[in-house]
Amino acid sequence: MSDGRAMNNETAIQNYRDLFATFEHTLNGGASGETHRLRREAIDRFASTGFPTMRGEDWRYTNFNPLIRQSFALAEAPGAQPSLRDAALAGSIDIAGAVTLLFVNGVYLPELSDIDRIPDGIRVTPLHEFIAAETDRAAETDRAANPAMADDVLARNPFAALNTAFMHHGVVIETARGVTATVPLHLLFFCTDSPQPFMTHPRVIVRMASQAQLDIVEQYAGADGATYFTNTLTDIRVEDGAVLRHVKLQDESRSAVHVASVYTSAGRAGTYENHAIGFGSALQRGNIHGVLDGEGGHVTMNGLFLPSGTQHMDHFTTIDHAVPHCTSHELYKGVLADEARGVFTGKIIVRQDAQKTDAVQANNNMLLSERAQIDTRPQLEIYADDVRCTHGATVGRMSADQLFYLLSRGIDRQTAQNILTYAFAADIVARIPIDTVREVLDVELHRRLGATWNK
Amino acid sequence: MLEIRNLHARVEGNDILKGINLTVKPGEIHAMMGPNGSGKSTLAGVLAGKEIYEVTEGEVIYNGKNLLDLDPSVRACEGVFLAFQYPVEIPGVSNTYFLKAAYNAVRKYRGEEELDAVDFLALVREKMKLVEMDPSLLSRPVNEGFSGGEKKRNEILQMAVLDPMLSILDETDSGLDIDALRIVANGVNTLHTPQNAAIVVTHYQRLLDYIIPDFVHVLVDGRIVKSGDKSLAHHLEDHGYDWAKDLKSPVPETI
Ligand SMILES: Nc1ncnc2c1ncn2[C@@H]1O[C@H](COP(=O)(O)OP(=O)(O)OP(=O)(O)O)[C@@H](O)[C@H]1O
Ligand SMILES: [Mg+2]
Repeated sequence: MSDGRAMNNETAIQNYRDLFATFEHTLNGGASGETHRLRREAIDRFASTGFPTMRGEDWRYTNFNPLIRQSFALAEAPGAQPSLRDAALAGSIDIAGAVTLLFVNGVYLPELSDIDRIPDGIRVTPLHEFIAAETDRAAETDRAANPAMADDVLARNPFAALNTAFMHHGVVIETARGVTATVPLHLLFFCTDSPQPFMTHPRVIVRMASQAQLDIVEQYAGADGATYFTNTLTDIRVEDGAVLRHVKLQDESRSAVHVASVYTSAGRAGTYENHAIGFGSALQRGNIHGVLDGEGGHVTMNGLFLPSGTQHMDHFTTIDHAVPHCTSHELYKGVLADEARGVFTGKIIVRQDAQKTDAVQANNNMLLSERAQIDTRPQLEIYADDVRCTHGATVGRMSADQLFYLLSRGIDRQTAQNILTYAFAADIVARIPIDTVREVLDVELHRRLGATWNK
Repeated sequence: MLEIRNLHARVEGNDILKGINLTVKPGEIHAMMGPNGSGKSTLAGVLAGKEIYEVTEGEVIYNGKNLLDLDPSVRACEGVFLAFQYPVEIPGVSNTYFLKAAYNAVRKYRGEEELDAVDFLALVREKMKLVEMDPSLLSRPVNEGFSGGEKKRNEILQMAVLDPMLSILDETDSGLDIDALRIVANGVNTLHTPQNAAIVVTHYQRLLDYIIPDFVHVLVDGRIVKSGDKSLAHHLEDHGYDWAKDLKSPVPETI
């Protein structure tokens, strides 16, 4: 389907089936075994639904037609030229001391990564090697290894199915028990400009052994104006007492489509933190699904999204309290300019057994223009009776009184708006507990607000 | 410096100012008194450029410029300063950052070089002495959680930093204890020079014991119904506004 004719979901499905057949051929010996059986199941699952339509309850605010209209080739593995690293780093945030793992067009390039500086007790394996090893560990690519993915994820999320079908590139990050990594891993996903639109399906698997501590920063970036489709999946298991602090910066080409699915689960007294900062792409959908399956566990999900122009950013988060005595804290903030659209869905499930759950959720949005739009919906499903669950959502404009106060002191209108926008948004960055990351993102936010709204 | 001619303004369809005439010259201090709801804050807001007020008639000439044509931020850069009756809280913006942004905006407008953080801090610390403000208020978000008195001191600190030509103080004395009143009044007096001017809105003669006005005006129902020297304030203190409310038309005496 490269003749540019409009496709419908049926032709898109056939297109993806064809691409899957091509992909299978490139696997050679890899097209057998358990993992491949899973891939085939996944493409069949995807084929049975196609891309989500707005009729589906979980997808109703986002139109995925851009993915149906446009066909994307499978990204070709780039050669490991050092110039690629320079190009990727040029547009990247610079986190002091961080170990950079570089992915170009979805392909992990250990040759261009800081593999010699990976902290002791942390093992990073290219995903395809991991799969090819066909050891017991390869079963980690299966759904059963992570309770967050066990519940029929391929059927519920067509993007997870697609990522699974094309599962090959990515990394598996494993920690030893009790290890504390002193520097963050910076996973930099960079997409180059290419004459033909392409897609990538990278997968990151993180296995936090008990009592281990690690910080991971995922950054998605792309050459200006490049047209591509990123469909990433992050599969995280946090064992007893382990702590994973996970920061994501999404700032892609304004012609790109970005879909991310994060499945994470935490065992007894495990902590998972997700801090998602999004400047966006043309279209962005993020699914974060967190399961608390051990007592005393904690999940934080904070997010900041700042779409402008005609950008569309959709966040669908689920926190599933499966057992008693767990806490979760969620705060999402949206700043929407021009004709941007935003969506926030925050689902909190408290299972019948999950007594003494403490769950706090809030979503606050600031609209900078009459035409900007936000849909926010908290969805609480509470089946236990002795719990504390609070939620709140606000949508507002910039305060005229605050703006006038700044103007009356000589600050020009544009700067005044930037200051107030920053004041609203910076709170999310301020909550990032990793000093080096917080500082660099704060500077970045300052810069962006100036650039985006200081036309 | 300032010439207000036949100024009419309305808010949400209600006429509030119904023909204000006032002339302020450099070096002068004018007190503006009048009952609640008579339009004092409205006048201050119109001069500072608050958008909810719609000017329906009249003009305001400030240093040869048509003040009402200027954006509020330009008015501030041109030297107009309003100390708010109710200073606004701005969570997430530190007081120092705010002061520095304002100070440098005004400097830039005047074609002067912007001050760096270190020099600016030195300047602020100097000015803070004037209002005897607790330095810890500098690092806190603008006015957030400040007490009533702290907010008012913060307004005068901003005035001291920005060094305006025309200051409009809207009930800066209300909510101040007697010591704070003296400190704030002392700050205003120290900042007063033969080149600048102030319009001081107040309900109390008390403030005028510290800030000696050259003129006192009585604003009733959107008009200045009486003007006089500081003895007028004493008269108001003793007799209230009832007698003034009966004055139908402006009676300029001293101007
Ligand atoms: N935003 C507004 N919407 C509607 N009416 C308003 C608004 N602002 C002011 N007014 C009205 O305009 C009139 C004048 O108000 P203003 O605040 O100027 O009075 P004031 O003289 O400052 O009173 P005070 O001594 O109580 O401070 C009042 O009747 C007030 O209710
Ligand atoms: Mg008032």
